Parts: sequence; structure tokens; C-alpha cells
Amino acid sequence: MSVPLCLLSDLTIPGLPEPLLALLVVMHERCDGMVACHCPCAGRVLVVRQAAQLNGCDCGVWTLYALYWRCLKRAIKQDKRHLFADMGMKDPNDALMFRSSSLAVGRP
Amino acid sequence: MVPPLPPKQPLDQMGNSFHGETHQWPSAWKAAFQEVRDLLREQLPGVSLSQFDCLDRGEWLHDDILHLFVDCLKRGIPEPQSDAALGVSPPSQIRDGGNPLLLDLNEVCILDPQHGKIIQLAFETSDYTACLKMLKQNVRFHTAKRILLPLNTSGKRIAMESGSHWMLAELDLTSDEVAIYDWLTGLQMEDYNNLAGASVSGAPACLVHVCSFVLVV
Repeated sequence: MSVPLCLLSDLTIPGLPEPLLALLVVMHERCDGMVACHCPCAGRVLVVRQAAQLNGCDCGVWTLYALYWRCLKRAIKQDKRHLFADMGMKDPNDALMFRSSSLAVGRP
Repeated sequence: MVPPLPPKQPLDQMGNSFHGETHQWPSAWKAAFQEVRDLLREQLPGVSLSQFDCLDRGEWLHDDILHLFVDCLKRGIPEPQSDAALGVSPPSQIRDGGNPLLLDLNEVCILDPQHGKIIQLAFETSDYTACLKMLKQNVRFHTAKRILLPLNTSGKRIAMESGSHWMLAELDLTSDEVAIYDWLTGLQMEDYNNLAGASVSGAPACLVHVCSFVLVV
């Protein structure tokens, strides 16, 4: 399925960022200053992993964020094995910080 | 005059979500919010803001959101503080408008989970027609060095339907290496090898070879 997000290009509400674009900024802020890394290697397959999931659903958000992190211009110059350190992961609880429940502003 | 946005509001924009219903916004932003929702309903009938509810904790992240995210990344992602980041601009304006970007889309190619299924199907049937067509549409072969592919997996393979786990594959076209990023330690190393293709030519490594072949041709 192709979702033509570009159709939103006519949107003219001033100062309204795309939700996902803004989400990246929030993720970035929330990940500042944390470290962890575990990286077994096998042949030409490099596995970078960490038991950091608190429930059966967080892997998607982690993948989403890692995708963003490995997209960045600087990614090609970095050691893939340092992904967790680069992303700033240190604790399984950090998985939850990507979830909207912990990001809500002004939630009653 | 629309008041400035609060500093952290992205998920609060999600219409039918808990946050969207309960957050105490200025009335002007409620109106803007309605406008966005109406626009989505009109132009993107397949995308409901309520789909973003899956970003709540304990919820499974749907393919649709990853797809939207990938689509968003393909715009190039302007620097957060740049002018281009303040509004919703067409990809051409973001990429070619002299904006400072976080991504080099000539160097990295981003595929989405649906593409992973096409790759898996090609691997299983040995018919790469659809796969090559997809790659032609999505990969800048003259400059691409890496392909990023979110994997929705089921067991030890890419799921053709709904999977049970997400991980990320990074395919290095210059070194023929595959990196798998996983957030669990449940799989054995040979499972990763099978998934990535080190021992049985799994789908992601197959993609590397296909891309290498196309590059040579």
C-alpha cells in the first residue's frame, strides 16, 4: 500500500509540523545521554541486539527509532555495533519513553 | 493569529487518540486540528489519525505507521530548527530547496515493510520480477551504498501476513554485509544467519546480491 503523504503538501496551517517529524525531535530529546551496547557478530552478518523490551510491543517503536538513527548522514561513518550507545539506550525502561503515554503534555 | 505551539505536542495532534480528546488546547488549535483531521479524511481515506493510537504503550505498532514514517523519512528530514521543519512542505521543496537535511538520500535507500514482503516472496519463488521493479522505483543505484529495511518477522522469517516481531536490517551494498538490529535476545545466532542469509541465502542477503547484480549490469 502506498500512502501518498505528499498530498499533505497543500496544508497551510502555520507552524504545524508533521506529527512524525515532531515525534523525532521528542525522541531525540528524550534519548540524550544514555548508553548501552551488546553486539555479537557472526561472519558477514552483524547482529546488534539488547534485551530491552518490556512488553511484546515495544520492538516496533525501537525499530522505528533505529531506522531513523541509521538514516542519518553520520551513520555511514559510525560503527554499527555502537547503535545502542549512539541512540542513547541504557535501560529497558527506556523502551517506554517512546510511547505516547509517557509523552503526553498536560494530560489530566 | 494562531498562538505558538507548545514545545512537545506531536502526539497530541492525533485526532481520535486519548490525548487528542483530553488535552486542553487553545480553541484556535482545536480548529486547526479539526482541519488536519478533515483533510486526512478527504485526501487520505486510508489513513486515520486514530491509527496513531498504536503509539500508546502496550500497543502493537502497525505497518501503516512504519509506512508513514518511512514516507516521512523519504522527504529528507529537515534539521529540526530549520525553516523547512516548521511546516508541511512537498518533498521536492525540502530536498532541493537548499534546506539543511539530516539524511543523504543518495547514499541511503529506505524501504518499508511492504517491500520486505516483496523481497521475501521473490526469495521463496525465485521470481524477482516484482522485486526488481520495486528496487528500480526506490533505489538510486548509481549512488546508493546502504539499504535500510524494517523487518516484520514471524519466527525466523519475514512475515507475509501479520508478524510478531520488528527488527531492522541494514544492507551494505559496498561490503555485502547485513546488519540486523534486534531489541530482544531470544533468537539464536543461527536464526539471524538464516534470516539475513549468511548460511542459507535468506531474503535480505538475497537483496544485496540482487542489488549488486543490478549495479554491475
